[in-house]
This record gives sequence, structure tokens and C-alpha cells, in this order.
Amino acid sequence: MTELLKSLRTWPWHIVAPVLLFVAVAVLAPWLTPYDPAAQDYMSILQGPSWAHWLGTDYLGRDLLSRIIGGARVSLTAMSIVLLAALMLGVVVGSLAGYIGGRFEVVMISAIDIFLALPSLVIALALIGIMGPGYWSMIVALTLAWWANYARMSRAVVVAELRQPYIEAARIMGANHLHIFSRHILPSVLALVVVYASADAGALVLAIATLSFLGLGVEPPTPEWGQMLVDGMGYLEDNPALVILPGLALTLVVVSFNLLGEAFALSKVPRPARGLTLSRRRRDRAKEEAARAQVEARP
Amino acid sequence: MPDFPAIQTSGVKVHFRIAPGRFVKAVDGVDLAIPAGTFHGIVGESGCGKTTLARTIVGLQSATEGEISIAGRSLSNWRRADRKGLARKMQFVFQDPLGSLSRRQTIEQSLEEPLIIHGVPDRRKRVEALLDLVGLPRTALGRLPRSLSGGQRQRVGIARALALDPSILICDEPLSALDVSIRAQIVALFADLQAKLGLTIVMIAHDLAVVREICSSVSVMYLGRIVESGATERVFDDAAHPYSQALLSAVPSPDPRIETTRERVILAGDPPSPSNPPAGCRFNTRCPLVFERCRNEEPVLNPATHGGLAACHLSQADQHATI
Amino acid sequence: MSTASGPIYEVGDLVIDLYAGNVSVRAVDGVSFAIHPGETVAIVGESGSGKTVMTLGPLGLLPEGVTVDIRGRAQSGGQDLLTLGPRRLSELRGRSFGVVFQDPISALNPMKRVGPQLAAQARRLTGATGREARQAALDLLKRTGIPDPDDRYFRYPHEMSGGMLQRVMIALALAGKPKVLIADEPTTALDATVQAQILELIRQLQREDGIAVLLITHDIGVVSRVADRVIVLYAGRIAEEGPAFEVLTAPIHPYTIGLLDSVPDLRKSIGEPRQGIPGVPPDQSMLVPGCRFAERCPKVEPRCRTHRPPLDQVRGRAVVQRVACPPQLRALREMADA
Repeated sequence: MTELLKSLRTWPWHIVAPVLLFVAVAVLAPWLTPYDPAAQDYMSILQGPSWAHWLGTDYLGRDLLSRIIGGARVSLTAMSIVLLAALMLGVVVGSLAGYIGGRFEVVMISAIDIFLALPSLVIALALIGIMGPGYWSMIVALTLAWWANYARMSRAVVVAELRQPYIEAARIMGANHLHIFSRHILPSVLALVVVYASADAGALVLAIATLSFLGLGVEPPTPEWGQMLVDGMGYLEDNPALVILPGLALTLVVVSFNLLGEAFALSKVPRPARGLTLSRRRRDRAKEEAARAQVEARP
Repeated sequence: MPDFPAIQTSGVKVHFRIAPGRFVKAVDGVDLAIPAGTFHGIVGESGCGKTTLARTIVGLQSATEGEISIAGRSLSNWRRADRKGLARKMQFVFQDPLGSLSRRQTIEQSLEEPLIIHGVPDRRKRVEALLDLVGLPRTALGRLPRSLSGGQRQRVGIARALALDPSILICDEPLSALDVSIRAQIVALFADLQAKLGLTIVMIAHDLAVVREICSSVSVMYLGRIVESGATERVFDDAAHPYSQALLSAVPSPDPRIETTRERVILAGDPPSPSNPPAGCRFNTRCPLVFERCRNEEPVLNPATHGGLAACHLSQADQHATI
Repeated sequence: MSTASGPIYEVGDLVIDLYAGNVSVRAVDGVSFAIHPGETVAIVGESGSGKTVMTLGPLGLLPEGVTVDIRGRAQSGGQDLLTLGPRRLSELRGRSFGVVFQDPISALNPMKRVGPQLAAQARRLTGATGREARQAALDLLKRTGIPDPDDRYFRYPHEMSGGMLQRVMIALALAGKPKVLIADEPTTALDATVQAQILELIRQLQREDGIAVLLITHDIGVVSRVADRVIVLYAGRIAEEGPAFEVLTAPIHPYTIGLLDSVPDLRKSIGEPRQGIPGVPPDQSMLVPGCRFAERCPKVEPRCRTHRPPLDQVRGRAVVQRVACPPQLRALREMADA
């Protein structure tokens, strides 16, 4: 436990904070939104920022602040559902493929490769074409587009772990496959894949926005940033905020997630101490040296 | 004392197929009989098959040919019908102390694992007893392997292997990854454990000096076969096989008085590859005493002057050649 | 071995601090030594002793990913290596020092044949022309005892055995006609019979060329076989140094005694079971006063914990032997006086 708390200090909080902010806003949305995001008010359309509407209103008089916040919630919910489903599917298929091996693995790898070869949006579009547009079509389509990457990663982790001596040790101890899989393999897989997925979430948010932008995802009046973007384009001259605000929100969230992923990848690479950390360490070292010299100088 | 050897192998071969018709013959016909309660060393250089043999005996590797029996019962029978019983009878100590422990588990969890698998009650007490057995403090329990030293990790590996109270311990170069001063500690630990628990220990090693210290008997392997075996001190004092002689000669002595004055044999060339062993005696390409028969006929293990066995055409029960 | 002429490489008051992502370690804590032409000096220590950092650090050969702070002097050919920038250091390194690493695979390009790599090195370091360099490479292969050098010239690294590759490494190190050959555990990864060959080769090359050899090892047998002098390191400091014969047959520092005691000798009768050195190596991320061996030392005195033991010469000997242990030196003097 203390080791976990210690490692928390080393986290790049300037990157983690925006992500946490997004999650917090999304979760607390019902209490944060000053207005119902779908509430229309024909008396105040396309208004700029005011005390009543901090970010202004759109072409139907809906409060932009509420819609941005609401959009966060919608994005987060959709993203979470897809992530969970894709993770479950991907981890199970990939881990089993890696563990069972043989022909099963070969078949699974082929399936994974096929899904990986096609761009996720193309898959999503094709599936929506079959199922028809809508929220749940989007969810299913994105899940099917996303799972293959996690499967590939899970399989790679499993194959690497299986070679490790400690797995052999467990076999010699008489452990059966279930024991080895659940106690050793699965936790290792989840540790890697879950972290990757959280960084991948940004891409997923963007995919949701893209599909909604194309009218194939979240349908109005449910607020969603991509959908708000496409709606707002027609009113660019009247109130550019309709486009700028959702675009900005989207950019911020996606970039934060990407930076998170990069920070995680970098943390695995041993890095030399630099900059402020280095100066601090050097100072500490010099102090230790002086203290030691003092003790040793006594007769 | 049981009347069957703790470990017995006959005609064991382990061949790996690398291409159609081409095999790496890692182990190519090994007959071994290790009595219960002995400390047996298996030595040889890279490619001799000692590690493959150890892994095959313990069940990590399947033998291509030949029979292995543990405590009088065939290994395949154990594996088919009583895998857990086999685990309680025979355990393994790995060469790499860090890799053999799950880096995500604490020491306590690693030591508990065999007990959980076999449903042993009173786990905590047993784990603490294991720590005492290998000389580790209680504080080690909550730590992760990476925060322990190499010697401590290897102690954990040994403790874990002893958790199920096996009577046979197979160790694959358990000292190679350790510092010199730590090696001596672990060697002392092995000797102590064997005396205390009456274990049968088979140690794969490349450090002949250590083998001489703790192993009562030894087998020398070359290219997948045993070329010499017997009581360690007697074999090392009077090795009958030219390869054993060369191997012993290659070990430098830490004492310069001995080192600078002794006679040395230096073999030319490199060990041949196990995918293409020479015809006849496998050692004939490097043997300083080679003659015609060696190139055509592979020698078998016969009684040697030291009371053990040696596979050399020049070795007989009452005399042998010296390089 | 001529100690009469000046040292070919001299290191003074070397202090090396390493700073990586989450640790700061003082790997070398005030070390001075010198090596003369024609002599083989073995640097002995266990992991954490600083033997590799001390030897490769001044040459700029430590792996990346760590920030290195070096203080002190490292003189070679009238220049202080520590004052040179990376380019000049690289030039000097190639011409004066040849380095043989523990793992031969890592020093060679697996995609290129062995001969041309050797020739390229010769060309780079000695300014030889294409034809001269090729001939030099062939000569090197021959000298390092590689059978059938004309054929082996065109082989790839993966086609060669461990022992053969190590010979190629030695050839590579000699390509620039260096004055000092540094070998970092050159035989640790090799089989016993091959190790014997390689050690013999190093000895022979040294006799022929009169180069100095700095050998990093943890294997006392290797020291006994080839070393003229030995430096024993513990926790980044020199515990004992002197002629190999003296140090190995009559060690004075308690660590040296413990270390030698831990090493079994194949050719001696089995005596008491060895116990090694109790305890664990010290944590070098912190600087503490006193002797770093104090907590494991059977001869420890109170002053050992508060005052760093100076590396002093053993009196009354014809040879230069230095030990960093005042209690032991005092005991020796008392015995001599008695």
C-alpha cells in the first residue's frame, strides 16, 4: 500500500488532472448543468455570453454551458461502455488465444488481424450501415472496431509471460491451468491493457464525436460534442461559439488522454534524472558529502 | 531406506526438431540412477544437455525417447495420474532468482502459492517455518522480489521449493547468478538443508569447485551423453575420460602458488553443435588422445579406475589414459 | 612488466555519482590507481563494488539512461580524459584504449560481416587505406587465434561461437593498436575450456605487444591465472591493492579475506564448510561516514564506523601493497615488532 502511495507522488499530475477533470465533470453533470441541455428557449437564441447563459446559447436557445457539460457526460458514458465491452471481448479472446495456443491461436490471430487491418471507422460505418444509425448501433459498431487491438496486446502479454520461469515454477508446483491463468496471467494482462485502454480512451471519444458528426451516432437533442459541431457549422457567422466550444472541449479531452498514454509509455523507459530533479539530487548529495566529511574530520 | 533409486533414467533422449530431418539432440541417450539421499552434481559446458536433462526429469520437457522413473514410479504415470503427488515429491530450483518469482507477488504470496494449490492448512505457520529454514527474516514477507538482494531471492526460491516438503530437489545452476561471497552462503545452506532434511538433490552446475564441495557424486556430460560418473572426489582426483581431464584442467585455482605451477591442458577448438554431433566418440574432434577407433565407434560407459564409470576406449577398470 | 617507466593510465581521486529516474548512487567513492605498460591489473569486486563504473566511466562508456557526474583525474598520454568533450574522448579512446565487453554480441553489428567491421575499425583508428585495413583485419584475426581466418573474415557474428566471437572482440579492441586493453569480465559468459583459451590469448598478446591490461572480474581464479597486480573494490572504494601473489596468498583486508575464503579451490582438500561473508552489500544511495564494510566486518572497531579508513601502505615489504584497514595494519605492525 505504501509503495502505491509512494508511486502516486511520481505521477505526472499536470497530465492526469485534465483527465480527472473530464471524468468529474461528466459524472457530476446532472448537478452542474444550470439548465436542461435539451431545454429550448426561443426568446434567447444565438446569444453571446451573459449572466444568464455563461457561454451563450445555440440556435434553439439551449444553454451552451449545459450542453458542453452534458456532452461530456454523454461522451464519457458511451466511451466507458465501449471500452468495457471491447476490453472484455479483447482480453478474453487474446488471452485464451495466447494461452491455449495451437490451431485455436492461429484462428484467433487471423480474426484479430482481419479486424486490425480495417480502419476502425470503416468497420463502424459498415456495421451502422447494416444496423441503422443510433446510439446503440454506434456502441456495438465501435466495440467491434476496437476489441482487436486489446486482443492483440493481451495475446502478446500472455505469450511473454508464459515463457517466464515463474510460470514454470507454478506448473512444477502442480498448479492447473485455471490457477495459473487467474492468478498470474490475467492480472498481468489487465495491468497492461487497462492502462493502455485508458490512454486509448481519447481516440474513442474522438471516434464517437466523428460518428455523431456524420449523423451516425448520438442523435439530437442529446448533447454530444461532435453532433454539436456539425449542427453549429451553419451558424458560424451568427455565433461561432457553437463550433468553437465543442471543438475546444473535444481537443482538450483527446489531447489529455493522449498525453496520459505517452506519459505512461515513457514511465516504463528508464530515464536519466534531469532538470530540477537532477539539481535537487546533486544538492542533496553535496550536503551528504559535507555532513560525512564533518563526522570524519573529528579526531 | 527405499530399495529403488530416487531418480532413474534409461535411454533418455530429448531431440528438438529444427528443420525437416534435422534435430538438435540436446540429450542423446542418458542412463542415470541416483540413490535416495545423495547429493548429485551434473556438470558440463554449454550444449552438453545438462539443463535439458534436468528440465525433462522434472517434467517441464517431454523426453523424445526413454524412461524416467521417480521414486520407483514412471514419470509419465505420475504426470497422468498424480500430478499433485509428483509436486509433493519433487521440486525445482531455478537459475534466475528474479525470473522464478512473480514480480507482482510479495514473498509471502509466492511462498503461500504451493500451499494454496495443495490445500495445506495453517499456511502462515508453514511459511514462517520456511523462512527460518532458509535464514530469511520475517520482514521479507511483505516485500516484492525486486527489493531483495540476489542471495535473498534465491533463498526464497529454495524455500518455495521446499514448501511441499519434497524428498527430491532438482537445481539448475542455482549459484551462477549470485555474487561470490553470497554463493558461499547458499552453498552452506544447501549442505545444511540436505543434512537436516535428508533430501536427494541433483544440482546442475558449471562450477566444478562447488560441486566438489557439496556433491557426493557427479556426472560429466558432453554433447548429450554422460561421459563419466562416480564419487566426486575420486572422479576429480583421477578422471578417466580425456574431456573430464581437460575440463578439470581448465578451472583456474584461486591460489597463485598452485595456479602458476600446475600442468594445464588447453583444448583447441570449440565444442561441436548438438545438431550435428561427430560420428564415433563425440569428443574425437577435440581429443588429444584420439585414434582410429574413436572416429568409428562410440564408446559406452564402463567401469573406471575410480570406481565409477567412464566412456572412453582408453579407459578400463584398472587403467586409463592421461592427457 | 616495467613499473620503472611511468604509468600509461592514471586515475586520481575518482568520484562517480549516478543519477537515474528514481535512484542516486555513488558508484565510485574516491579511487586512485595507475597501470604501467606490460602489466596486467585485475579489478576485483562483486556487484555494486563499482568496478565497471570506475573503469568505463572515465572513458565515457557507461550505458545511456543515467546521468553521470565524474570528479577527479584520469590521465592518459598527457591528457585528462575527464576534461575532454565527447568527440575528442572518442578519438582518444579508440587510439589509446581497446575495450572488450562481457557480451560479444552487443559490440558487433549482426548485419555486417565480421571482417569488414574489423577493417572499418582499423581504418578509422589508424588511418590505414582500404587494402591496408583489410590486411590488418586479417592479421588481427590470425593473431587472436581464429582458425581459417580467410574464411572467417566473411562470416556474420551469428555464425560464430561464443569463444570465437570473444576473439573477434579482442581483435576489434586491438585494431587501433591501443596501449591499454580493458576487458570487462571477458570470460564470464564463456565455458571453462574456452575461458582457458581466451585467458591464454590475452596473456600472449600482452607479452608480444607489451600492452597494459586492465581486467575487470569477479573470478578469483582468473586473477590468479593472469594478473600481476590486483585491486579489490568494495562499495566504490579500494579495500586492498597489491601484487596478485601477495594479495591472494596473504590477504590483509577483512573483506579480501572473506572474499577469498568464499571461493572454493578445486585442488585443495575440503576443509571447514565455507560461510561466505555474512550480511548484504551496503546501500550506496546514501553517503555514510566510516568504513562501508564495518557492518559485516569481524574485526570492526568503534573508529571504523566514524572515520573512513585511509588506504595505507603495508610497511616492511619490498612490494607496494596498500590496505584500507587501520586495525589490520596495526595488528601487522605489532606482530612485526614483537
